[in-house]
Amino acid sequence: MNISAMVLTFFTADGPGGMVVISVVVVASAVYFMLIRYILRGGEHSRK
Amino acid sequence: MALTYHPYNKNESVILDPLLRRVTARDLILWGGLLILFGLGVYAYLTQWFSGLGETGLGRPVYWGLYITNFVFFIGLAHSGTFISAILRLAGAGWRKPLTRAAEAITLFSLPFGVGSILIDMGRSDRVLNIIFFGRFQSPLLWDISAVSLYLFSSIVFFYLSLLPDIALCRDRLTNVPAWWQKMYRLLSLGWTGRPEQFERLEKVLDGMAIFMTLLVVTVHTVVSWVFGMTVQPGWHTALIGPFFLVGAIFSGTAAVVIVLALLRRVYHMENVLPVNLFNYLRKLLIVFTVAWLYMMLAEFLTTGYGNLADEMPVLWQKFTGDFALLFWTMGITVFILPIIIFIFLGKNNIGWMVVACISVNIGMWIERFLVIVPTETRPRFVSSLMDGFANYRPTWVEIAITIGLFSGLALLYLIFTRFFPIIPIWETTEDSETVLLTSENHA
Repeated sequence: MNISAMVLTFFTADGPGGMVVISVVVVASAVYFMLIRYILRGGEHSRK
Repeated sequence: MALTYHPYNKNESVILDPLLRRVTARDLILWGGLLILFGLGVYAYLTQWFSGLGETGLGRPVYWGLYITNFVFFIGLAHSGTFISAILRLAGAGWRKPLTRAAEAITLFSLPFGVGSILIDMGRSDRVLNIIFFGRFQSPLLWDISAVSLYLFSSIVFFYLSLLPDIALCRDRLTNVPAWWQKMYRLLSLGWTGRPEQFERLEKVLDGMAIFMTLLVVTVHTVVSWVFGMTVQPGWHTALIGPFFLVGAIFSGTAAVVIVLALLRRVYHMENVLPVNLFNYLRKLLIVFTVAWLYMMLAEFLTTGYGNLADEMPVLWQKFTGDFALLFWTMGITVFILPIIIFIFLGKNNIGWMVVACISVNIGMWIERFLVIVPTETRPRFVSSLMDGFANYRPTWVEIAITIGLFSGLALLYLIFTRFFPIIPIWETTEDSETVLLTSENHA
């Protein structure tokens, strides 16, 4: 497998760039969703 | 029955007052005026949409004009919130607390207008989707889209998290507001009850996000500058362009915070919540930024002038003595000379002078953005010999109207926000705490 060719393709081919943008937003959404849930659940068990 | 805890803040009634104020004739005139100006921008945009970019002064080689100037300016303004909230949070500057939300709101509302400026500049805004389908990662424009979209998204979350306890407080305190308003608070508060563990976790997450946001703020404006810097055009192709943009962004953003705080203080009678010493702290920061901006400017021009390269010098002389000289020297006066005099000699304990200086800084910084972009395009590297006397740029009424519309839209959004949510963080500026007993139906 020619790794340098793969890396070059990533930068020069049509499409992968758009996937990066979508991936960034999707990963950020997941992380922020979990953080908000983590905050809201604070002290949930101690109150029951 | 469910318990909800809210920190006690002696200024709570003052902070909540703008939400309960009756709408006066003056309010209506102001909102109406801004709405009309925004509508003018929409009309101009529709004209451009149906008739094409030929309605603007843009063409070859000046393909970026007012719209991209606005883009860079709005992204710069957006750095105010992150700087005040995230960077000063990490630095442990407690004095920043009353002004964090006002600054973050500038970030939140400026970013969409920055992104919108790019879409407007494209002419066919729908083609932005081509980035998703055909995007190449070698293009700095794609880096820009990635960084700005992450910044916008993260800013919304950062802003929302610090607003959460106060939305819950509004939900529980403002019981006399219309039902839809109450419902909005209930939905947005996500059932927040203010347990100590929730506050503990919130602080922890905000601290963590502050580090991330600080990295983002540096990345975003550097990447914005690389849209220019990665080309080989004179005046743009310099490694200094990233830090130069960043310093300018934080400078104009902080100046914008001063203007907004002064207005809030005056209009909503928040003299006790936003004391003069806050402005004195900001004044010291602004002195540093003014000098840092001059340093960047001198470093850039000295390097270029000393190099005396054939392609670079026409752009430099365009600014110093050429077509853009009037704008250039106006920028020098409004960004450096006038503000530094005011900050050092007149601004201490004087909010009026601070506002004058900060308005001057922002006018000058907008001109600076314009001068970074347009003079280079009028004297591009590869066709400079063919362009003498031909490469001019004169914005049309469409571009000017859209620009006015964008700024009016920003002001209008900000005003609306202050009528629905506390613009000063109540929970962050608290001194003690009290327990409020509420019925369970008050929760989402």
